[in-house]
Amino acid sequence: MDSVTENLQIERIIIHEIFKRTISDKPCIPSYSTAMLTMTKEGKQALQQRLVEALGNNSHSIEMEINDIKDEGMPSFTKKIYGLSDSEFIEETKYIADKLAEAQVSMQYPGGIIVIISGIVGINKHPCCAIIKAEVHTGFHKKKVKESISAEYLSDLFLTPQQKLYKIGYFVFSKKGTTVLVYDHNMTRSETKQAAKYFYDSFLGCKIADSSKIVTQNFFLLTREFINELEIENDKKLDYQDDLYSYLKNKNTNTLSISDFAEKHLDLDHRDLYQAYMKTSEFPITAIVKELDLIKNKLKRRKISFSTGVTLQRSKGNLKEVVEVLASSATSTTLKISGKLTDQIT
Amino acid sequence: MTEKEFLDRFHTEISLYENYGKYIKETILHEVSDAGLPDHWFVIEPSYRVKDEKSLLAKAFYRNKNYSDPYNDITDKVGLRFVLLTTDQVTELTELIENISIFNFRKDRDYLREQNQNPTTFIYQSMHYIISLKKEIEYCEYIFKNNIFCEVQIRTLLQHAYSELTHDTIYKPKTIAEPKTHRLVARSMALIETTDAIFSDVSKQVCIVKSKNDIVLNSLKTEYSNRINFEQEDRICNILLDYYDEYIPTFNEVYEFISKKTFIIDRINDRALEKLLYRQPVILILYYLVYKIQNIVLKLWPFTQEELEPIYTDLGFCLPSL
Repeated sequence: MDSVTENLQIERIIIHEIFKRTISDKPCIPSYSTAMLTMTKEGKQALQQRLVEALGNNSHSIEMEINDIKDEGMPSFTKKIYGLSDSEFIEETKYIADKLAEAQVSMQYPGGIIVIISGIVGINKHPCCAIIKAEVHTGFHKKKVKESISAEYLSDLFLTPQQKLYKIGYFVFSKKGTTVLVYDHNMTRSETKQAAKYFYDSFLGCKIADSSKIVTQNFFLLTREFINELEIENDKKLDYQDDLYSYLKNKNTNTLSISDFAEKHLDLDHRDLYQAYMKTSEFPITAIVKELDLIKNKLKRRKISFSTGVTLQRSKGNLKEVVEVLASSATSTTLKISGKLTDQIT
Repeated sequence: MTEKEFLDRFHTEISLYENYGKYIKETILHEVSDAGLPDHWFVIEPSYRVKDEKSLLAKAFYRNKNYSDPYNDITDKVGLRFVLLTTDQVTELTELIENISIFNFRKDRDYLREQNQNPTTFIYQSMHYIISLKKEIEYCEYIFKNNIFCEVQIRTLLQHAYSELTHDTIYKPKTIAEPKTHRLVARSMALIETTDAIFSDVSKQVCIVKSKNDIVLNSLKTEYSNRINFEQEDRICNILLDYYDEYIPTFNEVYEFISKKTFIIDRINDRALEKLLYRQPVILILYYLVYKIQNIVLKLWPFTQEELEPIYTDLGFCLPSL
């Protein structure tokens, strides 16, 4: 599967500013630009790179389903603006800023810059649109004053490589339909997943794919299969399988992805192999929302089986903490198990 | 034939022999270059030499050779020598000489044959050919008949070193050398034979890697100049081919890839003016490798990461964290 950000070429950029609500039931009116943003070649390249880092292959972005099919919903509206003239584009994007201000129902949600980008993507140059909500933060700017170097304090930086400070909705329009990717740091963690909802749901009109449960199950089955087929020591396999259990059972994370698992748990030499393996099985190349319902029982116990019908399982925790594979051949395995033999149930 | 008669005839024919040596040398070198073998093939400049009178007389009359017709029986009145680096090159050159259609040849010495006949001894090693012509040939103002001979010696640099050391002491003994000396010299030849075999292995291994990469690189160069509007450079091509040696794809794989992902050529054209990396034909392979093995590429990348980032971006890939 090729990336939906492959050959991304930015054509038009405009920014507007939105503000934090001061009264809970009324959105603040955004401040609108009246002209398109012009950027140097380097600036464009950097912006393209930010988008790909957040949305591309192996990123933490999530492919979502379209929920709001109305004309004024973001999926349809962004499709419409691609073909507009520059002046119409400037005018119509104000509506996008209004919609975001409207969706920010809580006074806790910060204001920021909304960047609306249209361009083309892929080998076939499909139209695409990206909407970035970027929070403004602070930093310093190096300045040369006469012979010495000084630093200027800046309070209005945005779109630095610090990904936590922006959210992106990204639409690609092809003959097959509209593909939506959403990047929001809040989605990746369980404790903040609710805070992400206003952006992808109320504003972008999207929802988490119904297939998440099945895709999570596939992740587990395919990764397990990959580890089993790897030509490595059994002891190492035990490690990797334990890692897979821990990765899925981690209560703090709300999403999972091939690259995230690879980077956290696999040796560098196995990462490309794993990614290629999952890609061949058509597993999504960005992140997915983790839903464990279908594999709950499988994750309860860590279990290993032998060709002679013997099964070894541990009710809690990783096997590797208590089991060591000392040697293994086609016909026998030598294990060292910590703990005293307590029960021999007949 | 007396010594005087022998020398008188020789004096009248010296320049004939000299030119014959020159002619044989030129003919062989011509074949070498036709076969596409490199200029640096010979580690010592090939040269021909007419035998000096004293050693000629010694050989004809004083070395118990029992020649019936000493003048015509001595076939190395002119000699020519080729010194190469490895035994494989020696074999290659002998095959080349044996296939020259205007030559008649007789193999006077063949160290491989000698090794088979006497597998337990270690002595002088070289290939000696006695070359004559099948048909009479006119060259400058000379006529070479088919009964004029030139001795051609072919050997490795190490075999040559042995020969230089032992020439007057062992191979053509004027005095009988001490058994101790014989033993030392035999030991050195055993070592030379071993080293020559290792040299040959080394050169084979280098050739496999080099020729594999050269084939890919040559095709890449052509492809690059067909598609990119910039003058290409190849300063860092070989460095990168070395770094990613075990992952280098075939040219066809790269060709198929860039033909499918047509935008890659546009991006290279965009950046070639400002960036050295994009003026290297190897950039085509780099895109392919990032697509296939993104983690390994980053791990092995010898330059700064910033150089690599745009390639990942073009392909829609995040830069992996290692």
